[in-house]
Amino acid sequence: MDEIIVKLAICIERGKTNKTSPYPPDLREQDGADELAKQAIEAGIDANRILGACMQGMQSIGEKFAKNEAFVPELLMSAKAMNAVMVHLKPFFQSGSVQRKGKFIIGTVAGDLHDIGKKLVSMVVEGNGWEVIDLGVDVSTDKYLAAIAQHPNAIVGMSALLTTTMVNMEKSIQAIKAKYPATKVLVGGAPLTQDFANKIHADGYAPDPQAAVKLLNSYVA
Amino acid sequence: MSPDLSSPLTDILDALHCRQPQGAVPLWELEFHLWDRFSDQRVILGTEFTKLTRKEQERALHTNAEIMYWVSSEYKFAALTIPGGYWEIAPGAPAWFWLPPQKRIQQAKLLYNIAHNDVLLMAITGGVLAMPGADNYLSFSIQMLEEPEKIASQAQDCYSQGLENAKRLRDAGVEGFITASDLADNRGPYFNPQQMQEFILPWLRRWAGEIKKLQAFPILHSDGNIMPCLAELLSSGIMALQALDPVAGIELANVKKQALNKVCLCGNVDCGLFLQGAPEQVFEETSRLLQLNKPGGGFVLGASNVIQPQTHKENFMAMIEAWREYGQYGNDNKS
Repeated sequence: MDEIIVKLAICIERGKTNKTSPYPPDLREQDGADELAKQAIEAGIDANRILGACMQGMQSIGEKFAKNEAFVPELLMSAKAMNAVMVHLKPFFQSGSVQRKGKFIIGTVAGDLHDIGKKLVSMVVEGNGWEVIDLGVDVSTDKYLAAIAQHPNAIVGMSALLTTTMVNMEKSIQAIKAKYPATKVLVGGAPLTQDFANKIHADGYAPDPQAAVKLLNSYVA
Repeated sequence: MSPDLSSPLTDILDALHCRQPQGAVPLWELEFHLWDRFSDQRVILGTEFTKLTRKEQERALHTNAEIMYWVSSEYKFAALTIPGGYWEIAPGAPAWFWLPPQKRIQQAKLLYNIAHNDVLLMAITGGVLAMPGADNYLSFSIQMLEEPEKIASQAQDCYSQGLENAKRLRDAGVEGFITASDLADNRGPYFNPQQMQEFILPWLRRWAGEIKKLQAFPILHSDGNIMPCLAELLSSGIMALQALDPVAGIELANVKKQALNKVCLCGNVDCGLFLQGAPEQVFEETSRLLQLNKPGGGFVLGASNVIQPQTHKENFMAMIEAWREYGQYGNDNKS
């Protein structure tokens, strides 16, 4: 039983999605996260333990990423493997037998159509046990407010890729803070800096996905 | 052109060869999008250009060339990047600064005819694979790990296409070729060291070599923190490196220590400062950059990326003012 859990955590960390995936080469032809999750459920392993193994795998790759020992494509492969497990865990989330850490509303700010960074952060955050509500790109202030109304305890994330659109974050943050003062807002994106985040009164600045996870986890610790 | 008289053109030729120019630190922008505001005339490009009649297009190309040359002369630009090939600033949102392929070549020829004694013509042609864009970020990343042979094939296609573009534009008078190959984000390289060795560096070396055979300058543009792979990039045969993004933590003076006499550095006044800063801040940062990087040459002043249409004119002028004060090689007190 424990062997499956250990293998699952390894598959997540190494980005081994399923048996047919040729990556990583040294795990070729072996069961991946998809098969192992299925086997774990069939063996009666608690879904929380399965999720825990996944989070452990994501944490390992995240730490390597933070130390520049892993790169974006490898992180994405881990997130892909994690998503394969999530399909099997969906009924347990729906029944409430497995709880997520919290909800994270994310969107690319008004005027900006880029979603590379947002997508990457979404995948890694989800892989770390959060429910992600992705509002897409070019998200207006009203759309953020409507999403917060629907998910009152959620933390909000704003992304921007352009120096010309990151300024729109300030307006959205002001509106959110005016209506929902307790709501935490994180910002990130290529042209942003901690100074800029401070200037627009964001609660946190995440230069990369792992930093976003750390910040989110700190809010629920 | 007399070799003993310095001009913006001779200065940039010196800088690109990592020599100290006689006149001033050359000015060049990867893309300059303020032609209209600096000339009070209208440069017609992009989708607007494609909607013109054939006759109107011919006229527009001539007018564009005149405006670009006039602004370049007025503000002492040493080089001028001709409008690019089609690209999107976001999925479904075409950039402004492009022309259809044949018209682009025609634009280059027109510019060459009026400007070649004064300004070096540059063009972004590609040649080396870049990290993926928004539309294929996930699929590219996964394919690189699961089907690396397909990415290798893309790298080869990118090289062949880029070189072909460069050859055509070289015939039209362009002398500097840029592969706009973003290799990193703010955190660091997108490609791991093995992928760099497999998909990037061999093609960059080959591309740089071929561009030199065309008697032209191979220039690499990359966003992001390229410091972890800087040594390999500097020894690839490129003659200039552009962007050196300060938002990604790059201090040009640190790069210069490694690049001296090998590769010319182009940049790196923060684009964000042009957009959101005050003219005093742009002046101060430009002055700082010039004082640090002017000595010894091998340095071309410009923004850390492109000068975007939203850039405040007074901020760009603040850079020019700082350059006038601190960018001249004859003025020892300001070096």
